[in-house]
This record gives sequence, C-alpha cells and structure tokens, in this order.
Amino acid sequence: MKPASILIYGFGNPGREDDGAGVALAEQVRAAALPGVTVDSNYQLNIEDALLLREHDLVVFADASRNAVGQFRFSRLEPAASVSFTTHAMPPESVLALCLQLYQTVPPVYLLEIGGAAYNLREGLSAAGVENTAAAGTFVLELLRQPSFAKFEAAAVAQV
Amino acid sequence: MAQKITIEPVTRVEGHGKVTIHLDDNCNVVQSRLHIVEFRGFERFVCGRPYWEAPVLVQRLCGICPVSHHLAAAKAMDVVVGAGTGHGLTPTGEKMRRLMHYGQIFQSHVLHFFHLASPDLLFGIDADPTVRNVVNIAIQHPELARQAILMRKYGQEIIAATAGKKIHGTGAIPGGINKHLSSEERDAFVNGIGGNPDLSISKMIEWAEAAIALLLDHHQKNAAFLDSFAAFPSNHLSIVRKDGALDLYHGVIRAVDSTGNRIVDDVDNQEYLDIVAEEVRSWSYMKFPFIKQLGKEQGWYRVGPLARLNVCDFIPSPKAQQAFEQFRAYSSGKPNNRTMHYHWARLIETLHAAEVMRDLLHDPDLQSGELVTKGERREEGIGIIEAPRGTLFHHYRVGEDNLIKMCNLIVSTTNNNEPMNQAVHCAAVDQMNGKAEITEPMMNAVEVAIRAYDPCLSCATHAIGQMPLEITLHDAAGAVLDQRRKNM
Repeated sequence: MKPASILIYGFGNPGREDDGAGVALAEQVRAAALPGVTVDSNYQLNIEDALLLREHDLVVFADASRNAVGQFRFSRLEPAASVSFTTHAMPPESVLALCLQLYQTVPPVYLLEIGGAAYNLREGLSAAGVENTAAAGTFVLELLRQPSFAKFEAAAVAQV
Repeated sequence: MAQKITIEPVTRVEGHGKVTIHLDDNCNVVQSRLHIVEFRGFERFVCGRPYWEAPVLVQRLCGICPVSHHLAAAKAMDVVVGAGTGHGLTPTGEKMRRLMHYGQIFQSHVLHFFHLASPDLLFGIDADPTVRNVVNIAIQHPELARQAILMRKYGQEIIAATAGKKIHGTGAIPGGINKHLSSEERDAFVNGIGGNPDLSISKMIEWAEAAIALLLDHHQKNAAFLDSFAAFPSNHLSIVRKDGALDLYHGVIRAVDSTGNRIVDDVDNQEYLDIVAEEVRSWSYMKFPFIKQLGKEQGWYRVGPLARLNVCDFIPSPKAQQAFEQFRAYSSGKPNNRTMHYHWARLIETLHAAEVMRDLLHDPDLQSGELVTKGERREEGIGIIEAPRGTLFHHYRVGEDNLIKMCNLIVSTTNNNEPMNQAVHCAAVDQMNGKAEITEPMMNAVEVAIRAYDPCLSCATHAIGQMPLEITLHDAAGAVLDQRRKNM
C-alpha cells in the first residue's frame, strides 16, 4: 500500500555545523521534487508538530545524532510511554505521544539519525557530516521513489 | 556530614547548566549556585564579517529565540546605516518588524506556559515526573493542549510570513525590511490560516484571555505557594515607550527598585554603557550585569515579563491593560517581587502580543509603502529589544571597510543571572533545609524556581542522544556520595 502524503522533516541548527544535517537532508529531498512528498524543517521539534503528524500518512524525522549510528540509522519511532523533556524542544517520541493523545491517531513515523562529528559555530557541515548526509539522502530518496508502507518498515527492521 | 548536591544539567532549561547546593552537617542549606556555561565565542566569530550579514548571522546563536537576535542586530545596524535609533524606519519597515517581534513573543510565551510551566502548576511540583508533562496535559486538559498547539502554530506562521522562512530568516535588513505582507497572508491571519477559523487572530485573543483566567483560578487555590515560593525583593529593568507604555520593540531604558522608586530614568538606549556594567565571578562562566550607580552588590536586577510589568506605567491595548490593572492592584501598585508571578505577567504579555498583532494586521502600511530607509553612515550601533525572556543588548562597531570590528551582546538570561541564583537559594532553603533525604520533588522545586525565568542557554545544539541528566551528591571533601543519571 502506498502512502498518499509523506512528510520529510529535518530539524537542527544549520549555523552549528553538523547540527544542521537533518535540515541539509531535507533540502536534498526538496530538490528532488518528488510527487506526494512534502518537505519541512525547523530548528527543533515542538508541540505544534503534533498537528503536522496528523496531516500526513507517513513521516520521516531527520536529525544529527551523537549516538553511535555509523553514517546513519533508520528506525521506527513509537509514542513515548513515559515522557521526559529536554528544554524548550521536544523529543520525537513525545511529539508522537502528544499527537496520539490529542487526535487519537498517529501515522508511521521514522527517525533518520545522521552521524554528526562537529557542532561548532560555523555554517556548513563537516567533511564527515557531508558524507554521512549524502549517504542518508541516497538511502531515503531510494525509499521515496516508489514508496510503500512495507518498504519503509522493512528498511527500519533491517537496521535493527 | 556536610554535603554538596549537584544537578547537572538542569532539565527543561535550555542548554547546559548545573546547580550546586551545599549543606552543612545538619543538612541546612548554606550556599546555592546556578552554574551556566555561557557561549562567549560568538562575539569574536562575528568580527570581520560585513555588517549587513549580522541580522542573519546572529540567528546561529539560538534555535529558541532567533527572531529576537535577528531584530536586535537589525536595529543596531539601522543606526550604522543612518536610519536612526528606533523610529527612523519607514512606517512599513517598523510595523513589519513589530509584527514579526510580537509573533515571536506570542509563540514563545505560549510554549513556556503550556509546555514548561503548566505541568508544574496543574499537577504540582511534587507530582511524578512521568505525569508532570505536556502529554499528561493533553490527557487531563485536551482542549487546553489543542489551543496551545494552534497558538504556537499561529505565531510560527507570523514569523515565517514576516521573516521569510522559519530557519535563518532574512526579513529584517539594515534600515528596514525586505518584504510586505501580502493581502492574502493578511486575510489568512485575520480569518483563519488555511481556512481554519481556529487559526484566526480573534481566536488567539480569546484563548490568551482564557489562559489568564486559568492561571488566576489556579492562583486563587494556591496563593500561598505562588506568592511565597522563591519570592525576594529586587530591582527591575526594561525598555519602555517614551510615554511609559509597555513596548517590547523599542524604547528608553528604565529601572525601578523593589519598592517602585525610579533608579534609571528613561535613558536613551544608545547610552546603555552609562547604565549597565558586567561583573565576572570566579565560579561562573556567565557574567553578572548590574546597574552602575548602585554597584555590584545592590545593582543587580530582574528582566523579563515580571520586570516589564513592574517598570511600565500602562499597556497600550485594552484587554491587556485591564489584566495589567488587576496585576498591579495585587501588589498595591508597587513592584511585584514574586518569582512565580512571572507566569502571570507572561500571560498578560501574551494577550498584549495578540492584540498588537490584530491591530497591525488591519494596518494598510503592511501591504504598501517604502521598505528601507538609509542616511549618513555611522561606525557604531546599539540595538536593544525586549526578547521574550528579557532585555537583549546588541552593540557593534563597524570599520570603514564595512566589516564588524567589535561586538558585545548581553542576552536576557545573562541579565537574569543573579536573580536566578537568588531564586535557587530561596527554593533550596525552603525545600531542603533540615531534610536528611533529597527527593525528586525537592530537586524539581529548584528547577521550578529557575524555569520561572524561562532561561535560554543559547549555545545548545539538539542532536539526538545528548544532554543526559546527572545528579551527583558530594561530601565535604568532594567525594561523590551518589550519582544518578537519566536520559532526557
């Protein structure tokens, strides 16, 4: 089955090197101008993004990661059973939980973590960030070219 | 055994910070400090860049209040390009910037209240952290949560329409603005974005009023706590319009002491260095600003919503003015020195921001008129704005080669450095004195005191997997007695 409306949502601060990897990936996808694919980006996730989830059939969050993810890691997100907060921003799982709670539905949401190496005050990605974002972009564009729920799910399972 | 408790970093506060509380042998609090790692590299980073880049460059500082930095830098560069010190812009230039700014104030205040403050207020600061959060607000108060989401979205859309985009907006430029608001955009904001009447300016005003009513109802039931928790006398500083009105975009510098005596009397914002100085303390990376004439010990001050409502004479919008009168009457017309009343003041400002947006959206200057003005080039410019969290100072010098050669910033959270330390100490004494055991609610009480100031430690990035919470307990010799860590 094919999702009619897919959202690619990159978040981070492009003025802080690899923190902008998710936004850079979103721009790669935007440039591809794929039908049925909407692209958005912001500094970070927040409460209003629960509304955005409700408006799409499938969502991919893309963000830089300090976890050991190699070039990138693709995983299925579930609403957070217990919620803890960082600061003014919300963790992805909490946005799902908020969406589910308010609208009684949440689409399949995946997290594309892009391996980051540097987070200094500088515009542009590090060399490793460029390489990792390109690899993640190739990966997600392949999923988007002939998208299906099963294809996204299989890709997430394959990376577990 | 004397103990030192460390909470690092502070949850639900931007960036990296830690709190240390020193206990004596009887478990009485003897000293409390908030340590914040302030990012200072930015001022060096911006030097050598063309001055016209500053309004965009400074947004790298922060993903929380980039609009405030964007506008403060633009205001400083207005002076540099000879466009005057606040009112020299064209009507379109100034009004478009005001719409952007009040959109930012609106969405930021809404986020703070609903996401950060309301879980503490509605569930109690001693509630289980797994239920003291915005998702539980959605369970227990779903209509409130839905309204908060739409109010945030409304403010974000105002910013996108005026700044050009959500990230690294380019709307404000030296001497003005680079776009009008189209009549289609205006109609959407007036009647409902995307045809949704719940995303109209009248709904924003209605819900902002309802939020104040909610807070006042809560206050009625919990007055003892809200009036006494982390309350302490202080000076208050903000900019105000020349006639004493609340004005978050531009004005003169005014400060009052804890009883309402005027201690800084409407000084031109280009003269801020005559008023404010910064002290360095060995134990903190963040400076401590103070009013020069009062000195380091007596000159510290609060900024932000509470300070602004203590400093101004009136609010120039009818519904917010009505709420302001009730606020001022509660402290008999004197400054309100109660930390938890920041939340009340913040919601009054939220209502005011909605009323200002409504008035601007009906102003035809947004659809036509000159966008930019320039005059005689100057080498120095200062831009001061009331950011959501308080007064924000941007100061630049620009060489004949058009490159920035000096930059000095005093951000809102830095202005509130000493008040936050005072609040931490009050909360620690109140909650921890004489207690042999440190509990989660006690820890949270300290955070609640800090959160009232809505601090933003702008150096933070938000990559997945960073910023765990560490709580460390030290004895008098510095040995770690206990350490807890949780992911955030």
